[in-house]
Parts: sequence; C-alpha cells; structure tokens
Amino acid sequence: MTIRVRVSLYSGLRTDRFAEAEVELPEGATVNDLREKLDLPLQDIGIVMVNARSGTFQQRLQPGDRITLIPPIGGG
Amino acid sequence: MPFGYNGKILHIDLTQQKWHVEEPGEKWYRTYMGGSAFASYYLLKMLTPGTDPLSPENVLVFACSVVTGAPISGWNRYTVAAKSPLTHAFGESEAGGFFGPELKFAGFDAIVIQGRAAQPIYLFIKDGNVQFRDAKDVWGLDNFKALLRIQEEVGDKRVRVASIGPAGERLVRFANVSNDVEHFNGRTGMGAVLGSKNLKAVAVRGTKRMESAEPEKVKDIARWHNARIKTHPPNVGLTNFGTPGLVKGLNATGILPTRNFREGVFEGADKLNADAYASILHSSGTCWTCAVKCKRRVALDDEKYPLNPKWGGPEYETIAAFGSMIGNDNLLAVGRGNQLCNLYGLDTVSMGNVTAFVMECFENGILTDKDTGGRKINFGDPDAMLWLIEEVVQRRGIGDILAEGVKTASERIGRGSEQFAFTIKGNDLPLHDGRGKTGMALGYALSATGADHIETPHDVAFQGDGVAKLHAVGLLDPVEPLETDMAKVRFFALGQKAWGINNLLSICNFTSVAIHAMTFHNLVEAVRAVTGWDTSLYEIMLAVERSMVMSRIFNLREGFGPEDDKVIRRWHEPMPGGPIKGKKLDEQEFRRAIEVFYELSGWDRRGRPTFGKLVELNLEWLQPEMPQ
Ligand code: SF4
Repeated sequence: MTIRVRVSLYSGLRTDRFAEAEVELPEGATVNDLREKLDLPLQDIGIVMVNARSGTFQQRLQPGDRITLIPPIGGG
Repeated sequence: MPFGYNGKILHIDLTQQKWHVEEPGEKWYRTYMGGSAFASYYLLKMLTPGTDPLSPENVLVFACSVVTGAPISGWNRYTVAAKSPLTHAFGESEAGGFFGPELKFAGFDAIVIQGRAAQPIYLFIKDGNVQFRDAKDVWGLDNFKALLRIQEEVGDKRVRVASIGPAGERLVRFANVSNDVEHFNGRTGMGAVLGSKNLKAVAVRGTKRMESAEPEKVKDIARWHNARIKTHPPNVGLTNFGTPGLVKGLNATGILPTRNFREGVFEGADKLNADAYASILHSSGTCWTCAVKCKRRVALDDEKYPLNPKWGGPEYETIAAFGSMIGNDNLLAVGRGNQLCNLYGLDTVSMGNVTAFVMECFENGILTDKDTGGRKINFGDPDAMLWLIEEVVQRRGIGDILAEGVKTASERIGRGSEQFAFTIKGNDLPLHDGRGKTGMALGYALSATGADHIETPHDVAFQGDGVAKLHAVGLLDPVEPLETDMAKVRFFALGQKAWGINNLLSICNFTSVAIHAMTFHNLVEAVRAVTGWDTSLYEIMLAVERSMVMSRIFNLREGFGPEDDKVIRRWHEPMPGGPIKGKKLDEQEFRRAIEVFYELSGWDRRGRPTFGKLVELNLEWLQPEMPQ
C-alpha cells in the first residue's frame, strides 16, 4: 500500500527538484522517509510544516498531507 | 519581593570610583522589561545629545531582563549598550554565554557605568558588592590571558568575565566585548567604549539563584521545551551542524554575500559549509542551561593556521565575513582569523566588511601596495585578511585608518573609495543580502543600530505554510522573499515586534519564537510563571515597541532622520548571477515601504513618533526630546 502527499519546496531546495509535487510513499512513511526519497541531506532542511503546523522528522504521514520544507537560511 | 529579577540596578562612577544601587520599583520593570529598553532608558535620561562616544560622558549599560537566569534553554543573554563610537547612533549588542545569568545571581539586573578611571581598572562584582580593581597586570593582555589572569587575581575560577582585548584598549571603533572568549557583544564598537573608560573588564560572581513565582510551572515548561528541542527540525539542525549549516542553503538560494556584496553565489562555498567544518570541529559548546548546544569549538595542529578549542569556533556570520565576502575558500584561515579577532577583541562582521572594502579598492586601483607598505590585498587571499587584522589591532599604517570603520576610512581615503564602502547608519552589514530577503532589508534600513540581522525575521522561513509560525501574532499571508509589497510591510511590522520579544527579554532566538522550539503561548506562560505578573503577549509586544521607539528617539536626538533609513547602493542594482539573477530592490518601491511603515507605526513623514504614539506607549516624558 502507498500514500500520496503534497510537497512544497522553497528557496534553494527547488534547484534540480520542484516547487510543488505529489509524492508517493509507502504507508506508514515519516517525514524523514520523504526527506530521504527526495535525496535531501538533513542539514539542508530548516523548517518542516505538516498541514500548516510545525512537524518533526519522526512524524508519520497520512494520505493527502501537505508538507512544506524550507532550508535554514536565517541569521546567526 | 520581586520574582525573576533583583529589583536592583547598579550605578558605577568610574571617575570617583563610587557605586550605588537604585531600586526603580515594579512598575518600571514591567514597563521596560529588559535588555535594550533598560539601556535606552538610561541613555535617554543620562546622555546629552552630541556627546563624544569615546568621552567619559558616554553612558555604558550592561543589562539583563526580568527573566534572565530562569532555568529555561536560551534565557541567558544580556545587552551591552552605549552611544556607538562606530555609528554615533544608538549602540547595542547582545551576547549569550554565562555572564548574564551570573550578573543576576550576583544581585543586579543591570549595570550603568559613567566616567573614566584615571588608570586601567576592572570591576569585580560579587554577591551584591563591588570592587574597583587595579588592572595594571591585565591591561594589554588578550581576552584569553585576561580571563585567566582575572580568575587568578580574584581567586575564583567560576567568575564570569566580560572583557576587552587590545583592540578595545586602542579604541578600534568596532572592538567588541568578549565573555569567556566564546561569546561576544560584537556589534557597534562597545569594546572601544570600555577602552575609552579605562575599563578592561567586568567580572561577576553570584552564589544565589533567581526565584520564580511558580517554580514548578517553570520547570514543567523547561522540560517540555527541552524535549521539543530534540525533535523540532530547526533545532535538530542547530544541534547537529550549528550555524555553519546556513552556508549551504544561502549559497543554493543565491544570497551568500560574496566579494563585498557584489554577488550571491560563491564558487568555494562547499569548502566552507558544515561538511567542511567537520574537519576542524573539536566539540560542541553551549550557553547557560541550554539544551541546543549550537556553539562550535575548533581545533587544529597546523603551523600556519593553528586552532585552539578554547578560543572559539567561527559562526555563520564569521564564515561568510572571512570566507565568501572576501572570496576566500580556506576554512582554516577563517578559523584562524576568527580566533585572532576573539583574542584581540575585534568584531568579525565589521572586520570582514573592512577587508572586503580594501580588497575591492585594490581591485579598482583605488588603493595599491603603496598604501600598505608593499602588501597586496586581493580578493581570495586569506593571508591578506590575517595581515589586516594585525594592522588594525596595532593601528599600524593603513590599519590606523581602517580602525575607524569602513565609513570614516573611505571618507579619509577618498579617491572614489566611497562607492565600495557599504554601511547603514555607519554600521557594517551582517552577512545577509537584502535582495533575497526584502523584509530583512527593511530591518537593516530601520534598525537603530544600523544594519542588524537579529532584530527582524528573515523572510525565507515564512514562505507558504511557514507563515503559520507567525499566525499567533495575526500574520496570515505567506511571504514572498523577493517582493517589497504591502504584505511585506505588514509582515515586517508585526514580525519585528514578535522577533523583538527575544531581544527585549534577553532570550536566544535559536531557542525561541517564532522559528525555534518555543511557542508564543508557552513563552508568555513562562514569563507569567517566572515573574508572577498577569501578563500577556500584547503587553510584551507593546514593551517591544516601546523599546524600538526609545532607540528611535535616541537617534533622532542625535540628528539622524529619514534619509538614514536606507540600504546600500549595491542592493538597488541587479544581482549579477545565480538563482536570483537580475533581482534588485527597486528604490522607489523600497522608499514607499519605509514610508508606509512610518505611517502604520504612528510616526510622521520625518520618521518621528507622534505625540499620540508616545502617549500610547507611556513615553510622554520623551516629547521634549523630539527634534522640531
Ligand atoms: S541556541 Fe546556541 S547560542 Fe542560543 S543559547 Fe543555546 S547554545 Fe547558546
């Protein structure tokens, strides 16, 4: 069984990928599985939103979830 | 008895070597709350406009907040403020580490320092008492040796020391204040103010802890917060990679400041990012009671670029300042430059800007090796950067002019060098490009300290659903980082006040709202539990606005006006390449955004807060200070 989720990438994460796409994942997949499928190293991700709420890498995804990934490019 | 704070402000007169304690009362604390607002209050009350920042009349403030020292990750910062010798405007800089909480434990919420000691001294503040100590054996030492010497002289290894190095002693106008050689009040030249007062250091030691009104509730929130830090992605990134993790994302987005803000993509960025950093990483460091542990220590047994784990590891700002900004991809040299600056007490952001300025002048034939006694200073040469650090700190040759800061140096050099001198209100720019973060560009233009990267949210995080992180303050529209439209002005105005909570309460952004592991709700709950005040997000954000208006009035009083609320020429020119090629800040659109910001803030067209605004903020006492 698989699920489909809607993924939005921002800023430099779009290069060689996409701005928005549907992605198919195995049932029970987590944000971290999505990250690996998109070949995104951990250090490339600053912010994870799942359905407009702060998400975690361990969070299990549900069919139709909306995931937003933004790179860490603030100050410091 | 107050909870969370001492109710005591320590006043020091260095000329007379006298001290006294002021107890301003709960209403004062609740009105101003901490950090920059405490500082603005005393600068506005005690300083005459036009005062020379390096004269004894300048007022120097060290300030914590009402909650500093509460046992919550990141509630550990403090502000150092004075009239800035670099900008002649409001000067302030925050740092983390251990000094802030220790000052609170020693019995004081802030220190207000005036005058000038006849001979070099340092202050030793312990459990409510103050000693003026002869600094004859400490003056001249670098920050690390000074720390060890002071620990030895006061006979306590647990003393926390905020000190200046030789740069501050020699009044380099971008000298910083170091605490424990790992944390720095870097910006606006506060180290030179200490130097001008013959004040080598402030050492603090306190044996008590702060009491909270509801200690169990504070503990509960701290436990929840620390658990969230472990899984919240922005904090996972900081714990694993520290701020060096920013290099890759900024470069991939085309906004890594490169060669004096000329470009936004650096071909050598892969040699400066978190992966490369692993080769010099020694260990992680932290600040008082913080679970994030984002600080980095570096070590390298190298003849040319030796790195000592006790002298601090470069943060993102320094990596960009001594890396891409000067076209250098040698991370070891970046680390070495950082450690020299840490020992000498130089702000790395300014020093990187100075170096890039000189390099671009060389590239254009404005400066030549005749100006430097034969030394060529070209983009990409890390040893030229290390050489310049020495010249500046010794105030030798061209270093003596550069020690005045980029703006003054370019005015003295002339010959068209001004076109490559990029400052805002005379302050050098932290390493972010406003062409790719227009909201942050508004922050740079409007900051009372000149360009400041931690006074305002960086647009990029609030794209798409990211804006949900600011829903709690009423911001519902996602942000487009490259636009300077009215949605952006709204984002900036609200975001700045939300962000400002951290500076006002002396809390580290990397643990807090809006992006990191704290939520607005729990932050307010924690402030309530610490202080016992029936407070709210509204009251705290009003205090943030009060703080911003006070520093604004300080600058108006010093002669700054709307013509100073601007960014650098280069950001009004198209980005020459990379992912945001062709993007620029349209000058008229940007001016319009600033004017709309004045309007929504209750400021007039000359950028002066109206009398109504002063009444709203309980600041009518400042009306006579307003220039007519
Ligand atoms: S997040 Fe980093 S800088 Fe902030 S308090 Fe923690 S260790 Fe210090």
